[in-house]
Amino acid sequence: MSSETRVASLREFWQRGRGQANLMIGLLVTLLLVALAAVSLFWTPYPVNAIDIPAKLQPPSAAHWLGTDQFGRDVLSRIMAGARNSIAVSLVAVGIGAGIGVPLGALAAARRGWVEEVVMRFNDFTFAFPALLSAVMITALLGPGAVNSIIAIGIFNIPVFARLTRGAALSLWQRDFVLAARVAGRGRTRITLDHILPNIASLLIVQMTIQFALAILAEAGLSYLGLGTQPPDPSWGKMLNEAQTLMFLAPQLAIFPGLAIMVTVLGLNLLGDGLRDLLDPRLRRLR
Amino acid sequence: MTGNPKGVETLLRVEGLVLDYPLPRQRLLAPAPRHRALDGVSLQVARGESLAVVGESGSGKSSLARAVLALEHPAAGRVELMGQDVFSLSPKALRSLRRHAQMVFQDPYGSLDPRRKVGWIVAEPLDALESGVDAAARRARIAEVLESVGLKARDAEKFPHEFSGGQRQRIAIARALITHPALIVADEPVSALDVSVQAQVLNLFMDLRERLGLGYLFISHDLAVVRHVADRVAVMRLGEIVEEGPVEQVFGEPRHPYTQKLLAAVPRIGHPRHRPETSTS
Repeated sequence: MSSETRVASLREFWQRGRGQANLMIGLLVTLLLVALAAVSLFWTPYPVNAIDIPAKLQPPSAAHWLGTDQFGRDVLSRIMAGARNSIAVSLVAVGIGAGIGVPLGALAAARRGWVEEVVMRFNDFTFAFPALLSAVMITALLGPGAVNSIIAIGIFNIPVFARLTRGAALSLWQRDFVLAARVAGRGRTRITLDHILPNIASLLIVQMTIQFALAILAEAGLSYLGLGTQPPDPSWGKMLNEAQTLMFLAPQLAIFPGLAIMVTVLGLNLLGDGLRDLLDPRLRRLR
Repeated sequence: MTGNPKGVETLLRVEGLVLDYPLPRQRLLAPAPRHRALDGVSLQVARGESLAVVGESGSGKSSLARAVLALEHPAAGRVELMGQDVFSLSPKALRSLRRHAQMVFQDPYGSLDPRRKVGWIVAEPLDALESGVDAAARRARIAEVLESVGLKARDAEKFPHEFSGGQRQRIAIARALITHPALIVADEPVSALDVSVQAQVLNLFMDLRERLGLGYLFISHDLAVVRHVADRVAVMRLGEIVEEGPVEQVFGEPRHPYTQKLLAAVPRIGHPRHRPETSTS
């Protein structure tokens, strides 16, 4: 494809996407989240970890838009910085899951036989452990911290993607267009790249957004248990944990990080739905 | 190409082909039982000849088509394409042989990748089997084959879902033609189409054969279709060929009882089967 046609198809892609409400809302929320995290790298309304005891547990006001916590730290600043943690952990964890799981699943479907058996039994083995509990185990073993929680969440994303990819790919390998590619002399790797992966891409993208949302929740869960991001660094889960004992005194401390998680997960799900529709050429004429 | 003049003449020679499919294991340690799909099938297709294989569902016709193109590995027997045994070739040599034999599938809705544009689909055998074709030559070849099956060159930019069933089957035929093959294996290529469209696609097959000198291995369960396209016909039953010969001979004087039954089962307009009389008086 020449660079001109690539630009043209990108423009066409954008024009078709613009008409979709769920895609646009999802994209907006996601971009807002990314912007929030990016801005927090060099600017927050207050220093993220600055303690100001006289100003503790204030309700939302002009000075502190989302109020302050029990140490007088600005909640908005901490949510902004927490977004950075949530995004980083989830992105890398889903990256590990998809980056290892998709090739494994595609390999199992393409090779069949003992390769498939080995991959899928390994999968079953991993699936046999409850994910969050095992993540707790891994972080307990390796020590608490953001990096270890990324590894723990990532490992349990691998079988999700491997299984999904294998199942979807197996049914595609039976289709006539794959047989036609074999008659055309294409090898297994090429067929996987040219036919299998593009045809399951929408499925994988939707699963990625779901896993991304789940990873944010998992990171929040691990941090809530004290095994994820370590104090004083902020994380949405950590903020929920700290708000727990103050629920009745200062409910905003739980509400705002909770809202941040909810809106992010919702935005990602909408984005996934929208992308699935946009990427399927068969749905184009319906619009 | 072999120096054997017989080898040049014969496009496809199948000898004693046996194909088994494994069935699900009955017990954990017992070997998996096997279903015999082809049981000693032998046939030949000469250059420019059209051989039809007929038989009911499950008789092994499609398995034969796949085995001929080395998509299945037989338990025994040989398949020679252009004089070369396809199962003893290296993957590279088999790939270069594939240029000479292509396939058209039954379901035009399933045989075209829904995510690829028609131009890409049609050019896939070209991209895979012929190296050093530049972009302009590639475009010209795509336009040429699309026009040869009655489509337009600009259809290359569309997706399969923008076409009707008959048009899609034309796209599938165009894909099979792009490497200028000598043999086309067509597995029930019109059975998924409307009757009026069937006639158009069959005429296209006949027209291409005349123009390009193609040989066909034409799999069908429809005897009317076979009569229209084939020179010779092989009748398959339970993985075996029970009768083979020129179309007029097999259809005119069927020798095997199964062929006779098959021909008798064809419904005819104007020749109603005997029905018990109803009392109208």
